[in-house]
Amino acid sequence: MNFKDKKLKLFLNYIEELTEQYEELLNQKRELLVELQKKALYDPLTGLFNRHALIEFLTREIERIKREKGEKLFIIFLDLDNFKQVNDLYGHKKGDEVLKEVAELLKSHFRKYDIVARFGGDEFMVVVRNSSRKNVEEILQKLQKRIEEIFNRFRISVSYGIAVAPNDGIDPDRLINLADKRMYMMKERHKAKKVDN
Amino acid sequence: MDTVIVSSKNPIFRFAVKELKEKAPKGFDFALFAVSPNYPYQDVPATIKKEFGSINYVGFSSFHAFENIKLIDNGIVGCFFKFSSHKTKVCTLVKKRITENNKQRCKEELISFLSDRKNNLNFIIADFIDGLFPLLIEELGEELQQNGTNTPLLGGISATQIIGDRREKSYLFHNGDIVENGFVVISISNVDYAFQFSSGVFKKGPIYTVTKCDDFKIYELNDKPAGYLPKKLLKDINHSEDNRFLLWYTPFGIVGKKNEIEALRLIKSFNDDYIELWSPIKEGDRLKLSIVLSTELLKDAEKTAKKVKEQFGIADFCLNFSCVARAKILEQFEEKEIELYGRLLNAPLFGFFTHGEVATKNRKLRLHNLTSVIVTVRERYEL
Repeated sequence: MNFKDKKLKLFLNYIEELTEQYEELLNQKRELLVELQKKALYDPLTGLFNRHALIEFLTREIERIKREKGEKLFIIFLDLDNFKQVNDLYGHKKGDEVLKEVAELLKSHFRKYDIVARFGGDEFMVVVRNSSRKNVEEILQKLQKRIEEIFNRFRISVSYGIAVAPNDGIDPDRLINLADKRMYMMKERHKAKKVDN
Repeated sequence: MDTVIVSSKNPIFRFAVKELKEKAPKGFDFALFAVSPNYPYQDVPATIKKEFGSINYVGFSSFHAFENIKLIDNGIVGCFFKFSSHKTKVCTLVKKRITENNKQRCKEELISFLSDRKNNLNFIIADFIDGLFPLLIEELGEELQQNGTNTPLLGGISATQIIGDRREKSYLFHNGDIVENGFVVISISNVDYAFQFSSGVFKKGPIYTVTKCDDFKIYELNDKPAGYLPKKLLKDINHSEDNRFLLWYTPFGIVGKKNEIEALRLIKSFNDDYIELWSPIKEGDRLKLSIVLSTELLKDAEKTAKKVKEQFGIADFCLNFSCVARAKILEQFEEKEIELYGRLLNAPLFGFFTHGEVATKNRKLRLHNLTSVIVTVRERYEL
């Protein structure tokens, strides 16, 4: 091999190393991006979408139903009753276990393409597409019953409120507030029932 | 300042010096001699004294030196200065027999010498001293930066032959004395000067972090044994001594915070466990593996010469010191670089090849490899 050929070979080897190093760097960047996306969109405890992701999805879905007239969105706000007592009496570790289990129940009761999110603390939200009020109510009643069965010893139940877009409006904040308000009304009813008993 | 540069290639040193004497101007104030290491170094001071008498000079081993735009190998090149002003003076700091034990003291003396001569052109020529001089310069750079002292120091390690990964010893000569294992700093007062760097390496390349090293040896890059990299670069090329020179085409650049190259490093040798460099390295240094082509070296040299000319204007004299690796990479264009320096700077040019260039870049004094440093000098005239 003459000097020119050797030099050419060296440069080709250099390019090979350069390509490998850049590919490694690109892979590292991709992994980092996936991790960051995960951190930005998901709740680390339950693995559900977080509040930020839910609002983002809800905003996009509202834009979609504005274009595809006739379709409805069901915005469900859920809050656990008596959850505070679990933390107070059994500790936060137990509380976290309950939240994770509730998250699993939510995921199993709704469809894969429905958006299930942890809104914060013991509050959850679900955005349901392509369904009817009747179906949604049925699912929620089943879920409520199942939660009461599983967490009977903690006396945990769930209250929920539903807002419907576009019937109740098309502003995401307004819809969330309305669902929250309706959830609160159910919670009050649960409290009153408990006192009566 | 009048500067005259002359040479002789007579193989008999006595005759070479005699020839130089005949060509040299009368009544000069100071001289620099680049002496081929093929001449008997023991005879250098006595021969110079015999021909020139007691003159003020500094000499050094150099297997190639530049007489204006001519490349002189196996000869002697003399650069003679005659100053116009009585204010222009040359003073020197000579340190010899530097060892690990007295290195710190030498460095302190050098710092003190420089801080007293902040406005002078300070030029250093040194031997490699088995790696002690490169370490001394890098440490000096750190200390000067910490102290906020920004006295420029320019120069290089005088170049002898490299056989395999071994470098032949070089000698310095000062006013009748042989300086072994040492350095000489020449400080000239009452001059204005400018200097610029030229490298010409590609600015892109993969970046590695030195995770384990020891002065000149890198053991780990990105937490992986470093030996794999030169082996990969020389894949399908046998690893003979000659072929190791090929790795000079793929130098490492030490990169700063903005990924800009602060100093270049060349591979001296390698095995499965480490890569040995010609200049020091530190743990945590980020290295960009670059690539270099002769055409790019020349382009950058031209750009740099134009920049220094624009910055400085008319010079009395130009000094250029370039890495020996550059000469090797330039191949048939070796003389082209000094030719364009001479043409663009339009002044007498004295220069030589080095095994490491000392210069301040980005306000930090460092030892560099593969660079060419151009210095233009002008005496301050009295009105």
